[in-house]
Parts: sequence; structure tokens; C-alpha cells
Amino acid sequence: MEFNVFVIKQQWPLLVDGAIMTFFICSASLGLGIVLGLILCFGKLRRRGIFFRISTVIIDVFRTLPELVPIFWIYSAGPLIFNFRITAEGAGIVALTLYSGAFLAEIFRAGLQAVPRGQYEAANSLGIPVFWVYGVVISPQALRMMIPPFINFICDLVKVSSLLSAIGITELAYHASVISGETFRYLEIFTVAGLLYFMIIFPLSMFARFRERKLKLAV
Amino acid sequence: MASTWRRLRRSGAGESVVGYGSLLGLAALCYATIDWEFLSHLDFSIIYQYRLPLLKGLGMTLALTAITVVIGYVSGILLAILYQIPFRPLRWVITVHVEIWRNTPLLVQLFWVHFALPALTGVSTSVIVSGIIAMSLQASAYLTEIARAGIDAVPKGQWEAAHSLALPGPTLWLTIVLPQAMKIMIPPLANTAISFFKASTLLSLISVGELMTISNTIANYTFKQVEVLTAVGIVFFVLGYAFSGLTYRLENVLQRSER
Repeated sequence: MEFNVFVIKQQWPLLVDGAIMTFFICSASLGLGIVLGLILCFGKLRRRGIFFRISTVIIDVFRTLPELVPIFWIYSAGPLIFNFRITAEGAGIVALTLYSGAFLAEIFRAGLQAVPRGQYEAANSLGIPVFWVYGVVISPQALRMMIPPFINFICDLVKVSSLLSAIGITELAYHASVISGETFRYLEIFTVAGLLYFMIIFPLSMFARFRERKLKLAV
Repeated sequence: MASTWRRLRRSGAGESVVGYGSLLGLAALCYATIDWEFLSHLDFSIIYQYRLPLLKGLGMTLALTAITVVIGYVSGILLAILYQIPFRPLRWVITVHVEIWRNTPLLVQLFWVHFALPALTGVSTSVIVSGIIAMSLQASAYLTEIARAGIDAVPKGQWEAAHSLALPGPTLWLTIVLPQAMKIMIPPLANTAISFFKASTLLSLISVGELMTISNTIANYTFKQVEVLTAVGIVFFVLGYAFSGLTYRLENVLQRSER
């Protein structure tokens, strides 16, 4: 079987549309997920009390469940239980927000806890106000530690967003399966779709590895 | 006044008030939006009625995970050993393999293996075989990376001692390097096994017949999505949580033996 370039040339715009949708979904759920992750992270850092318990449950549930379960649950069971209707895109963004919130909370927590205890103590003993302790002393060090796992998480999020094709969101994997179903050119279309994903994910993961190496050298 | 306020803050009462308050608000929101008529008609006996196919699906999920992890583990270690051979083209091939399978979504790999690979090779595979091939290729890529890190972490002195004793290759690998590397590899290996347990749900998209496929079929057949999906979610959560708890324990045990 020969590799038919014509099909790719013909269907290229649809695939690019799909890639844009993937980008849109990922950035929306990443933005919302950062907010949720920060809230959950502060809840988890309290170590006791009602906030701690709620955020521990949310983090544990959405880290352990396979991603497909919340996606299907919110898309098909959610509207049955709750009195509101939700579009496929909305359901997908909600599911990915919960997923990324849970993972990002743990990443933020690990970053904050990796800052040595002495830094807090030194800042406190210098009489720096609490707000400035976190803003000027802790967060620059914590952010530097967070960058590699954060970028790695974005890679995972892009990969997971391909699952949204199962509930009919018109992102890259969905367009790829529809086009290849119509034209019977599975080899060409899926190779190109895989390459597009690779082009999105590979630079990110290379950057994460570069930062990680730099971090290891600095310590 | 100020001291009372400080005592209130120290005791954490204010936090509890805010916490329970937001919880109450959330509960009120749920109460307003939940369709109670529907909720009262939920029928969880459907799970008991379809327990045999569901259990079969669970067994299939676990079997697929085990097969994937074993194949991925063996091929990952082999690739990591081959990577140690100082022959450039071989290293490039292994690196390309690892990068391709690590940096594309499993969904695309699955469809590629199931629909596109037969066009290349001329051999058409069944859904189960395609699922196993796609998952174990990705597992081998992840585990090559893990095994490489494990082998790199074996102290240089061990290699030098083995070389100075003129030990043959198989002895060097099987009795010196791999046992020490294995200990470092175990926690990430367990984490990879959990992530492939989670990833096996993806195989439902090509209807392999594991838990997710069967639950989707039952849900669509009986129109009881809420019950079936919730039950399956609980099963996945309990198993995944137990696995990750065991991994955490294992990590602690290994760390203690290190000291």
C-alpha cells in the first residue's frame, strides 16, 4: 500500500482545525486547573481541618480515577442528575479542569515543600511580613522547582485531551478518526495526526528535561 | 478584643466556619440543581444483575495490565542494556523509539496500530492484540527510560570492580548491575503499572472487552448510565488507591533498607 500524500493535502485544514481546538481545550482547562490546583494546594498544606479533608478527597479521587471515567460521567451522567444541560465541550473542560486541578495541586505542594525550612525561618526572623515572605523569598525558589513537573504535566494534559474525542469534541484525534473513516486512509491520516501531537508535545518535554538538568546542576 | 481575635485565629475556628460555610453553600447549590425525582429512581441492583460480565471485564482489565507491564518491562530492560553498547546508530534508533512512543497520545497510537499498521504489514490484528501491542510499545518506551536511569545510578566502582575481575558480560549484568538497578527501578515501575491500569480504559474505544467497554455496553443497553458509571468509577478508584498505597509502602520499605 502506497503512502497517499494527496489525502493529507486535501484534509490538512480540518486537521489544523482539530489542533487549534486541542490547544483551546487544553489552555482553558489548564487555566481553570491552575486556580483549582492553588485552592486545593492551600487546603492540603493546612494538614488538618475541613479544608484539608475536602481537598485531600478531591485530589485523591481525580488522581486515581482513569481519565475516561470522569469524562464519561460528567458528559452522560451529569445532565441526568443535575438540572442543567451541558455541551460536550463544557463537559470536557470540566473533566479536564478537575483532572489538572488534582495533579497541579500536588505539583504546587511538592514545589512549596521542597523549599528548605531554613528559608521560612530566616525570613521570619528578619521580620519580613508574611505576604512578602511568600512573594519574594519562597515563591521564586518554589517556582523554579515547579517548572519541570509543570511542563511535563502540560504534556500529559495534551495527551489526555485526545480522549475527549470519545464524547465527540472536534479536536485533533476526533477529526483524524472521522477523516480516516471517510477516506479509508488510516495510515496517512493517523501518521500525520501522531506527528502533529508529537510536534506539540516533544518541544515541551525537551524543555522540561533541559530545565530539570539545569536544576540538578544548580543544587 | 485583639487577643480574642488572635485566639480565634489560632484555634482554627474561623477556618472551620469558612470551611463548613462553603460546604453548606455547595450543598445548597446541589440541592437546588439536583433532580431528586431522578435520583430517587436510581436502581443499583443493575450492578448485581450484571455482576458476571462486569467481573469478567475487570479480570480482562487486570490481565491486560499485567501482560502489558511484563512485556514492557522485559523489552524496556533489554533496550536499556542495548543502549549501553557504544554504537551510535543503535542508540539513535532506541532514542527515536522512546521519544516517539512517549510523546504521542496512547489513543493515536492505539488507532495507528489497529487501523494503520495492518495496511503496512498486511497482517490484520484482532482488537485485543492491537491493544496489547500499542500499550506494550508505550510501556517499553517508558520503562526503557526508567531502566536507563536505574542502570546509570549503579555506582561506577561496581562496574570497575567487575571489569577488573574480568567477569563475562552475562555475569556482569545478571549478578552485579541488574540486581542493584532493579532496586532503584521498583518504585517508578510500580507507578508505571498503575498508570497502565488507568490507561487500559482507553482500549474501550476499540471495544476490547475490558471493564470500560462492558460497562458502556450495559449502560447503553439498560439506559442506566449513572449507576453503572458510578459503580465502575468506584471499582477503579478502590483498586487504584490500593495499588498506590502499596507502592507508597514499598517505597518506604526500600528507603529504610537503604539506610
